[in-house]
Amino acid sequence: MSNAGVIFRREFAAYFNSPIAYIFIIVFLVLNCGLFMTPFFLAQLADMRDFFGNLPLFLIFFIPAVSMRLWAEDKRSGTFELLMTLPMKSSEVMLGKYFAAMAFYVVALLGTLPIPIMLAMLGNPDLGAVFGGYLGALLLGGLYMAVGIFTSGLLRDQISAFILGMLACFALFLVGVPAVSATIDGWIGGFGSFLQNAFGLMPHYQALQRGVLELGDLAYFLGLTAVFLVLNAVWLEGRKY
Amino acid sequence: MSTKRRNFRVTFAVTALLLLAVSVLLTDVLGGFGGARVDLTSERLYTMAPAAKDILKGLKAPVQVKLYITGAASMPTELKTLERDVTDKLRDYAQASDGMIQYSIHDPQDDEDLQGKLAERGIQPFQVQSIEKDEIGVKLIWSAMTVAYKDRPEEVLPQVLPQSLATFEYDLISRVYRLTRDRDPKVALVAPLQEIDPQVAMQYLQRGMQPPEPTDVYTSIAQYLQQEHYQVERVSLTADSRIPADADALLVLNPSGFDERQAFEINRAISNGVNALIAVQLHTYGYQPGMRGGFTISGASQTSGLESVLGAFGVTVDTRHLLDASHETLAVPRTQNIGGMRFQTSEPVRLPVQVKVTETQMNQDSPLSNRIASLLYLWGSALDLDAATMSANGLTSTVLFTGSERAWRAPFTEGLLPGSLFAPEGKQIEPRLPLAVLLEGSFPDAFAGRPTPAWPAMATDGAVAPPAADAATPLRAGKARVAVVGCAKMFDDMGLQAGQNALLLLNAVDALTHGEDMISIRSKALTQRVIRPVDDGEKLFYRLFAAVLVPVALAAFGLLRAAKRRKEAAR
Repeated sequence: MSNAGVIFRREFAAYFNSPIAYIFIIVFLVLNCGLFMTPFFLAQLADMRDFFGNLPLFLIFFIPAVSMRLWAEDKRSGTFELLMTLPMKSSEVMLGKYFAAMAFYVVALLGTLPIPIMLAMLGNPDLGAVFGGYLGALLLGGLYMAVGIFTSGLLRDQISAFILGMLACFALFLVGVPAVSATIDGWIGGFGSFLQNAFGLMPHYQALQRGVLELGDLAYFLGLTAVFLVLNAVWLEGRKY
Repeated sequence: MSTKRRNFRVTFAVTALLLLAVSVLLTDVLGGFGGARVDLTSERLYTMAPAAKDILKGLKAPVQVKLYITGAASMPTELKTLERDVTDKLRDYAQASDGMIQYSIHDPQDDEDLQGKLAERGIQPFQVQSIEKDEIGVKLIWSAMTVAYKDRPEEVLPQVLPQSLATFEYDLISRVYRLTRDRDPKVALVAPLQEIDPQVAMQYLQRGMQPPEPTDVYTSIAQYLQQEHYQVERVSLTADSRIPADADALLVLNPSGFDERQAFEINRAISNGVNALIAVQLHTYGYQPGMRGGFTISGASQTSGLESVLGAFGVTVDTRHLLDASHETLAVPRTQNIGGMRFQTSEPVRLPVQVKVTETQMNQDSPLSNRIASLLYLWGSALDLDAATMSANGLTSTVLFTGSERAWRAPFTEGLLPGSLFAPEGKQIEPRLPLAVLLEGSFPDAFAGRPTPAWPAMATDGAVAPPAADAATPLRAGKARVAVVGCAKMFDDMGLQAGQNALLLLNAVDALTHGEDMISIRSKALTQRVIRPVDDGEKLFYRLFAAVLVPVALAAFGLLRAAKRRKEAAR
């Protein structure tokens, strides 16, 4: 795993060596925190439900934008072949890149901590629910990032990787929305409900957002994340053929 | 494409499908373990309340719960999981009750016999929206529940829907609790009718018209309590309408000019162990529209007649104006004359006598108040608590909620009030003034050593009727709980609509009649945490703190790091 650590350090440092990372995080914070603060003093509620409620949709754009370069950049610049010939497994390279991207996302998420601090200063927020919300945000980001790194591995072009990643994340989001699954059910009886139960992320995310940690919800996020990471590793191995 | 590559793609696709299937299966299997969950919320909102468990464990005979629900296949998509969600909960309750909750599921959709039987019990199917082939339609579905215990009349939950699952625990356990007790608790309600303003009455008389009858502004209380299966008996507190001997709790709202005998009756009931809520209103305010906009405010005061009784308990309702920086906006009606046409509009009025009590002012250790987020304490007064008197009488006190950190009092003046009264400048700020208190213990008889006051003579048809026969309830000292609140407006028909005033009332009545168990179950779904009042300067500070501070710090860090890297590169 030390190989993955080397890749992690290289990739994580690379984020902060370019102004893009700062711009990403600043845009993420200004939009998310700004959106939360706009009606905050009108509602006067000491909770973060609105903040975490907006996140699944917002991250559909943010995470693929972070993950699009993970492989596509290497393929474009020609360093991909170099990476694949290094004396390390492709899965180690993939994990190093994935966790570096996740660390970058965690930094962005940590930037929102002034919100719970403010809530604690102004009222008595339910810190358990806030913690659940952050855990949900972390797992959701982890899943989107796994989808993003997978789509980045499929394509050479960053923009294509971004669009494909965004569409895949959006699909996971949409099939979990009751109105969408009801519409699909209207056409193919029971198929919408099946998709919602099997792949829809909203029911699982909403449980975490409420502050309830269920084994099934953790299994959904960790299981699907693992699936996309394994598929990414398998696809990379397949490029040798 | 080489054969190897083609083979790999097929293998990859199969692997992807297999992995996805395993993941879905794993999620489904692990999701089925009902016990494998952690409720992170501070009040364990999604976990069965200990009080609910106690009630279920205490069941001596089986309770039959029947869920009548349309099968998942015929349900609209958003309700397909409803049966499973409800069944999961019922399974938890059955386990917690050691099998005393016995539940069964029935689908009446295609069973006409069952449908007929359900209709006789008041259970009907209802319409819900459904989407099919891009068309929005309606479906008729069944989703109701009955709860039966021994030979008691069956309790019915006429609609069980996903949105009612949040209160499902209370809805079911409260019914189980009610079914298993001998009778519905009785609440005696002493709340005088609101007399019409003397000036208005005079105007009627001058026009040769009869003034309107006094109005009852406490009708909602009975409705709220009856919904919760309390028997409510309105008591006028006269010789012919006394506090019933079998009352479990006594509500005294807005006592106004009570005579000695009325005060005696209340005192005697409390001393005899009847739990009570006494809400006193000493002030009212009039809002007269000003000629140039705004309103002029006038004050009027009254006495309760319970001063000596409350004094003996160690509580005095302060007669001064209570003003608080934490206050609520009211929409006050104004009639405007535009071009000869009269229009009724309403104007927002913010005055420090419209006190708002927020979550931070609630006693978080008392079940009566710890899940209440806000109250409108309209035109209320502060309470002065005499610890020495309470201690001498062996009473313990718990302050339920207080004023804010910036409250002040001013001597009461009748009639028009000066604007300076409403500004805190130059006033002595008194943080955390007690506004409601719960007293517990054996309450003293404020009339001890004195003869029982006689009922006042009643004037009938010009003649004065002799005082009614005096038959005071004998004193038999018992322990009681008495909640005293310096505001009765918060419980009238208008006040109960504001904030969570109704929740406070229900909590108080629950606590006074059958302990605090039901409070902790009911208020789980009603928790709403609000922030403290914030002035404009603070708002700006917190906006910058939450949305701007980190981005600016990050931008500064990025610029510094870039400069450093540039310097290192140049070197």
